[in-house]
Amino acid sequence: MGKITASGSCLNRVPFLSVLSLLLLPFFCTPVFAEEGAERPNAFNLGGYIRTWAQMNLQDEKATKENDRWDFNMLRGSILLDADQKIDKTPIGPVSFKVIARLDRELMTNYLRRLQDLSRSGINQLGGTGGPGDNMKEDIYDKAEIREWYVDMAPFERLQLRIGKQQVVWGETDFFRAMDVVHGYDYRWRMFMEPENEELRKPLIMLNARVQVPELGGSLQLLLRPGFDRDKDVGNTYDVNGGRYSLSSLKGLDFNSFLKNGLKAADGSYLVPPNTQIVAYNKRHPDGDVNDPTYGVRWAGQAGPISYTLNYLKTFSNDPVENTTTRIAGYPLNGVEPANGALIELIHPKIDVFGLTLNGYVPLVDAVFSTEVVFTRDQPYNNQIDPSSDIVSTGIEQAMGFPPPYDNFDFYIPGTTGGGVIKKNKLTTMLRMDKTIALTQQLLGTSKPGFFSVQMIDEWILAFRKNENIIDLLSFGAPQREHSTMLTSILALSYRNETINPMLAFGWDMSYQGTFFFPSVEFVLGNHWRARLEANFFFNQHEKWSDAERPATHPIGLNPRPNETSAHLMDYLSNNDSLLFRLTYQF
Amino acid sequence: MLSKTTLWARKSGIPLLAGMALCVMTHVPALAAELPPGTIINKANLDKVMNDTFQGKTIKSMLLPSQEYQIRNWALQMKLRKTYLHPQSKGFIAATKKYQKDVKFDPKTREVTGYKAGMPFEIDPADKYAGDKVIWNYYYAHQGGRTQHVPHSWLLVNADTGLERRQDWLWLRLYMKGRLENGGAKPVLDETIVSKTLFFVTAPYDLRGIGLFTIRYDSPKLEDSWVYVKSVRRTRRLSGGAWVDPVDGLDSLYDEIWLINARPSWYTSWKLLGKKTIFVVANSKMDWVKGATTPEQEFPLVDLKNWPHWNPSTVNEWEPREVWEVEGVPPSYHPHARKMVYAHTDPNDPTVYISEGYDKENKLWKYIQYMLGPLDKTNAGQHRAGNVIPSTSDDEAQSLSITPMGVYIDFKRRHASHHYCRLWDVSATFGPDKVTLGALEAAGK
Repeated sequence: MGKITASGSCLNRVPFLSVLSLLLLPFFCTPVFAEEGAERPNAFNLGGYIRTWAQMNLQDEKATKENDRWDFNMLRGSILLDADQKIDKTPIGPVSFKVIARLDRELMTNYLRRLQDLSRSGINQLGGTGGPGDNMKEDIYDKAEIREWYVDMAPFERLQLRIGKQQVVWGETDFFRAMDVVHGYDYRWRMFMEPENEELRKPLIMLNARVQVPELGGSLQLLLRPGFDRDKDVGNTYDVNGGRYSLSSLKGLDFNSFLKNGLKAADGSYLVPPNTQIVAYNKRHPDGDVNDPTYGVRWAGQAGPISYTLNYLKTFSNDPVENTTTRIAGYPLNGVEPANGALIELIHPKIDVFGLTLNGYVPLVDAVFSTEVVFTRDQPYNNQIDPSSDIVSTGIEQAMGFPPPYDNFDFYIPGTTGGGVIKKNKLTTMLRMDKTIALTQQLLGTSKPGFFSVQMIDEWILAFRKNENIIDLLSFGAPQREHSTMLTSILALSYRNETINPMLAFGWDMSYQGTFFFPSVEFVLGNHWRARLEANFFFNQHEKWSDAERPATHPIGLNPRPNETSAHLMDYLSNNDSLLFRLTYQF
Repeated sequence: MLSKTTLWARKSGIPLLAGMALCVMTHVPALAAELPPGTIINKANLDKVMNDTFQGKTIKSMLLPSQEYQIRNWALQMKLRKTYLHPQSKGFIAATKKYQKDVKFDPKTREVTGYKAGMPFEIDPADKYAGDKVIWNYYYAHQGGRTQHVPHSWLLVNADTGLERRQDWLWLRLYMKGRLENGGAKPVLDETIVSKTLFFVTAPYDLRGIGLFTIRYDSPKLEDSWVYVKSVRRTRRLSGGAWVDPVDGLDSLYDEIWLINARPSWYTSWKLLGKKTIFVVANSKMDWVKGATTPEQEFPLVDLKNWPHWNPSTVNEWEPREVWEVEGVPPSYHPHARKMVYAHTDPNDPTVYISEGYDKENKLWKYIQYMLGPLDKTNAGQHRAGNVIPSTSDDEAQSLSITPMGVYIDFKRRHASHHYCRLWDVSATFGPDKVTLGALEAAGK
């Protein structure tokens, strides 16, 4: 696709060749049972997997004319190669190198073609085309990249260094992230349901130093990201292109598309010049420039029976906020026009994150309690001055000479509605209990006690003022409350020496209602094969567009403009119920 | 013509008695024969050899009921060898002499204080707490070296289908106490901690990095354990009560690693039932065949080929050893109602060879045996080349027994797990800074 955004740029030729050469490696060297070489000098290990996903819709997607229920929304295959080479004797002691490469390929299912056709048909009657949504296979799903490459060394006693592109995970929270914000995630091919979130995480080029201090019972970790990363490696990437994981009511809608013909004002002049992109990522914004270094420090220690970490991180807000052109909105937003002339840009302003985590075993109840308290300074949000108006659409319609009430276009993207970006401090608190339940062995015949975990996480916007109308998510207009609280729970069981592993995951949005429920079972078939069956169910209370409001043929139509003041997280994910089968061959 | 006497003799059955006597004379020696080394006891000849002797003791008296059960029902074969006792470590004996007097046992708490190095207790069978002390000896003066770096494989075997899976793990344990003083080393690195252990998977790929970091405190409080979860690349603290849970996917409880992995006082009681001589494997050798093309060739200490695919192969040789027979009663939440332990009676060797787990109905559930072998400088060469790296210092000469292979059999599930060591290295000189939670995270790369 190339021309659209840095974050969705074409495959880099050099990494692709490297990946290709890695893929050929197994033909030249027999894969070993990986760590046989752990005791070999100068060991070289090669491992990895070949994995396929087949996932089908359990609900019909109203955006399309056809009934999409039971249609596949994902037929995907990946090859991952994980190689490491150790060199035992160097002037600075043993050094090891690591390279992890992954090649992803998808088949365009009939359902994806329908969404792609919707995208190609143009956004919101404005004629936006040419974005990744028009070419989903190549521009969203197919990838080939060296995900990680780094070198490990210990040049001094107690000092371990890892230099290169890597993943660093901080924090304790499951499902959601409080302190685990070193990296952004790519949620386009699979939302947060993928059990190995390392596959979604976007590795960064960093210097990662860890100093063991046994006298104090802990270690000090220093992180420096010098700013060498590609634009697309920073921040979360959501499906804003109308693909299978675009949010409810936004399927087939590509926000990254271009207004090929522009928009003309009533006097014939161009209000929006031709080929203007509607929404573009801007990773070089003054508030959040990928080239700027970021850094962090973490102390992990032990105080009696309590393990704790103290963390500080200067990083980017992983969730983007939207900066809208003043040409249309007519409001001062954050004072910087979107780059490249786009109407709207998504930016990742920098934030300061201070975190404390604690965990400890409480014999009285035979459970482990964990907590995470994270203070984030200058968390950016989008807000809107007048929740009832759609400033952008109104501005466009006014300029184009439409008569009031200016509701011909549904271009209702919060942040475009007059408020722009507002920065607030927030406090995120997580409390979790992990407990093994021996009773599952008697009641359910498990081969070991079941693992049960229940977690509550609360996001508290400090100095909250309701009239600031902080909105919950881009393209949705519901205001965020002072506290947003989620309850999640996991019950993991195992049978036959952990070769059959069922799991139930549950979540409840205590603030805005709605739940999710993910039952799954993983089968371990010998040394090499793994099979997984998983269902994802979302139960929502509200919807961006109710069925009554939804146009019969297309969700991105003209009137009536939907009421967007009630839809929150579970509502965004509504109508996404799916059934997944995943098969892995590992080596 | 027969005389009257002869007739009387015939009528009275004297010839019959004589014949019987002759018969007895010719057969009794066969029933009570002294078996030569190399004899293989199996189901086919078990009844025949039960009254035979080996080193002067009858086979029947030396076979544990659990072993006889396996020979009759699970095709266990025992190849006999002459007992050979290895010379004890001089450093260890010296440490016992120096420090044993300072070790105190509190009958109220069944806890021990004052241990530094060597054997904590001399066992007096008349002592009410002799059973506890046998286990304390094992707990503190554990064999295998004070600094253990042991890459090994777990073989998961189904009785009906054979080898199901293999997992490779790394065992890294640093004892903070009980270190010998040769070379000026301190016997105690940390008064409050017995050991620090890293125990994690290195293969297959989906499990690589998953593992445990455990701190064993020298107090009755439960151990602190963390698990590294590869899928999310994060460590997570484990419940202290996990010591009674199975190790991930294996037929071993955490409590059964090294046969007994719990602090003795966590058990309700340990009772010394007596002293007896049993068959154990105590002169095994590291025998992992690197680069072999089949599991049968790679792991010759296990008979993977023949049903039930979990028995020790006849490469292992069994010899009589005198042991303390100790009965343990675990807490009620433990899966087992009773545990039997067989520990060497040698006052300078705390080795435990075998343990048995019994269910609530007192039926044999679990049989665990370590195929042990000596490790010191003099015999390192006996092992397959490269399998063993003995200590370069006498400080580590306590590695009297290492464990080339151990078998955990779960008779209820008809399933077994073997830990099969590929290398036993006690030469490493790493300190506490290498056995940390951070090291576990780093291992999960």
